[in-house]
Amino acid sequence: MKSIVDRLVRAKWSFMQPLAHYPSQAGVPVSDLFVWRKSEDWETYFELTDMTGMYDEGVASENTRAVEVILFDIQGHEVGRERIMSPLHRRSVIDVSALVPSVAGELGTFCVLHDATPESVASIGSSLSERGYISFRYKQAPLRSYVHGNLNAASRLPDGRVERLAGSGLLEREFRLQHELRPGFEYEIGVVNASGKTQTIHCDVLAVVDGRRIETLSVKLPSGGVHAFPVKPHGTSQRIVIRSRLVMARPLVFSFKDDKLAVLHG
Amino acid sequence: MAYFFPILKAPGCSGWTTVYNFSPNNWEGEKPATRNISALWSDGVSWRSHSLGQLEYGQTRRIPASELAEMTPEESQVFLSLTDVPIPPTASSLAEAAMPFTSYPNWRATLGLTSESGTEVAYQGEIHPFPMPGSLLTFGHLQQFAADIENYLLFVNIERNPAIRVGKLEIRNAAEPEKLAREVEVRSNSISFVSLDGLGFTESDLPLILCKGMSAIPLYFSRTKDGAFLSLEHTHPPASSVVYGKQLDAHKHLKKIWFSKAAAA
Repeated sequence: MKSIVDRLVRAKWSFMQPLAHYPSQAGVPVSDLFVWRKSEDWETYFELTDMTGMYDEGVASENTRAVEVILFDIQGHEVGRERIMSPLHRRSVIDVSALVPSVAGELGTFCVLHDATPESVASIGSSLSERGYISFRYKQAPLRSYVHGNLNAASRLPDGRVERLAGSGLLEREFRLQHELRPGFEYEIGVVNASGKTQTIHCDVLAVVDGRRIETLSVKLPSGGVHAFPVKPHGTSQRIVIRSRLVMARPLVFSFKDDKLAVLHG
Repeated sequence: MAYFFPILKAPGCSGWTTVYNFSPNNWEGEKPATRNISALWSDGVSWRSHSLGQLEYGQTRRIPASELAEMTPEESQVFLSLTDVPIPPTASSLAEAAMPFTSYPNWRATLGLTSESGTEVAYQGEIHPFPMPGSLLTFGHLQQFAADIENYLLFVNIERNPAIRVGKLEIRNAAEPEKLAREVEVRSNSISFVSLDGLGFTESDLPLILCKGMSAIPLYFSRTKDGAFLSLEHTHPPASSVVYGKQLDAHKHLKKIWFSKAAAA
């Protein structure tokens, strides 16, 4: 009986509310919605991998190794598309900030969609999802800070339209970041709305010691939009809770100290 | 499901781990409880543990390697656990005590490193015991090139069996997989450091890293020689880029391709 009650309680959070929806057409390429930053202080890079070559296919055909990088501004509006060829069995580091038009601002998102699906992948009913690695260089530091993608956030339909796939529900839910924000550091908590609907995002800043709410920051984020909440702990460690209807509002955490950057996935 | 939080080790750095006793969301069956923090390590024969006390629900605790120095052997690799009941001090297999569990996201800790110059870097992580013998395929996308930069692969392994096994890890160039660039020993229930420098690779070369006989989480760690700047991130299995359908078949297929290329040498 307890099990049935548990399932019913859980259903209000899970029924018809997947982490990410399937694309409306099978077999189309999928990508995370990665964050880009571009300014005097910021450069953003993407590690491009030749997926078809990795599966030992398309070795003789450069056409199968093309990707399309689609760029969006802070509001989720498309600001550019670039086609790039990935080299066979080699590494290619794409300077994404160089692809962003200067009028597009300093913060936005992008996705990377592979033109071809390896036959060995398609034959098992699967698709490619680009959830690879981006890196940020801050204030011309000698090292870039890496962070990986993880969500099937967007797909490109045959007519070129981008479909956003992240799931959302009827109830507001909490993403409680298991990361201590410490005095002496400054933080920006980056949240992407990869769902197809506008979402209201609240960022509660709590004291670690007693869970007391210090402040709440809020933003209305259109589909495809991104926002960076600034948090500066004073005197005591803090943590954050992100409230929204997104099934998983997993943030990027940018931390700064002495002009040095570290980035991690929440 | 058992999982653990390693205290990281890396050249020129000291490790620390911050453990959280609160659920990462409010909808996956939150079970508030005071929980036990333990430090576990393998002595090669048994899994040993030492209690680090309890953590009340809602609380956070940062545990630096220095705090464990007097209670664990210097050469051992320490993993932390957060369990509903205390862990026995000695066990022939890794503890199976009840632990809090979530999927959206997984219940994690902050795994960090601090350099001698005070710079910090961290990622959110946990590690599940790997099946034996296991294997690893990873591509070294995250290596960085410039003067005064050092690059390492941190090979993080934990298994239920406390024995310290030795495996061989190979580094090759994905464009020339028949040529072995470096072979090094790695150990189970440990973090093994593998230098990625001095291989003759450039930024356009894609390192192919293989280990037949042992699985691991591959962490890519870069530092400036003075420790002023650090970079740390893990990679996912290459076939995690395959979604829907029979994803496990893609993992097997990819490993078969690249282990065959290396074996053809």
